[in-house]
Amino acid sequence: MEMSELEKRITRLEDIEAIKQLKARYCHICDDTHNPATIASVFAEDGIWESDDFGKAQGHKDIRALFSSFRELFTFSQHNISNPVIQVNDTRATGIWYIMGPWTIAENNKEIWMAARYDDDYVKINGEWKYQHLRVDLRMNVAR
Amino acid sequence: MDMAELQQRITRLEDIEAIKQLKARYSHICDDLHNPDTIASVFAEDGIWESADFGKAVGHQEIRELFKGFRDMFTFSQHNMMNPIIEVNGDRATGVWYIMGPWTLTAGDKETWMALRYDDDYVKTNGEWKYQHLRVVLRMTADR
Repeated sequence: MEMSELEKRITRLEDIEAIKQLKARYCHICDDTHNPATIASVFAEDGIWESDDFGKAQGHKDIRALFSSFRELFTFSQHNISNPVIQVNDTRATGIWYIMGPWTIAENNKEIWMAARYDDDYVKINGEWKYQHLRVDLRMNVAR
Repeated sequence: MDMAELQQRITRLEDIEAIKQLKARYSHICDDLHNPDTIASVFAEDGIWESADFGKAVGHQEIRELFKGFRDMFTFSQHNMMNPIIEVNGDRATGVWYIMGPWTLTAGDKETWMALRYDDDYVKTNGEWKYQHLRVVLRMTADR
C-alpha cells in the first residue's frame, strides 16, 4: 500500500469524526437555550437551516434571528442524537441523523418529547467542517 | 507526509474510539445494578466521580462506597450515551457527553426518565484509558 492511499483513508475517518463532533457542538449550542450568539459558528457564511415545521433561514444573520425566536419558543431542550450515516466526498459531505429528546415550550410551560430526522450537507472550509444545509423533519411529538 | 505523522493521526483516532468504549463499559457497569465490585476498573487510582446532584468520591475505595449507595438507591437504569465531543492531547483527554434513559428509584418504586450531561477528563496509563475525573449534571427528570 502506498502512503497517499493510506493518508486518504485516514483523512476520511478523521472527517467522519469531525462531522460527528460538529453535530454534537451544534446540539450543545441548541441546548444552551438556543444561543443566538454562538450558533453561526457551526454554519458556513451562506449556510441554510430549514424545516417545514420550524422555518427556514439562510446566512449567519438570518440563522441568528431564527435562534433568537427559538430562545423565546423553548425554555429547555436536550438534543440527543444517534444513528449517523455520514458520506464524505472530498470537501463536501452528507449526514443523516436521528434525534429524540425532551423539550419544554415556553407557552404554558408545556413539556413534550420530540423525535426528528436530520438530512444535512456539510462543507470543509480551511480544514474545518461546517453546516452547508441543515434540514430537520419532525417525526413524533408527545406530552411528557 | 511521513510515517510518524500518519501514525500520530491513527493513534488519535484509536484513542477517541478507546474513550468511547471506556464510556460504554462504564455505562454497562452502572446498569449492572451500579456494581461496586467492578466500577473501580474504569477509574485511575486517584480518579474522581463528582456530581452536585449525587455526591463526590475520590479514589477507588470511595468510588466503590458511592456505588454501593447507588445500588441501594436504584433498582434499574439504562445509561444511553450520545453526543460525544472528545479532544485528545497526548495521554490526557476530555469528553462531553449526553445521556438519556430510564431509571427506577428504590424509594416508592418510582420510575423516571433522566437526561444528564457529562464533562469528563481521561488519562492513558500503560496504554489504557481510564477516568481521571467524571462530572455529571442532571438536566431533566420526568415520570414514566
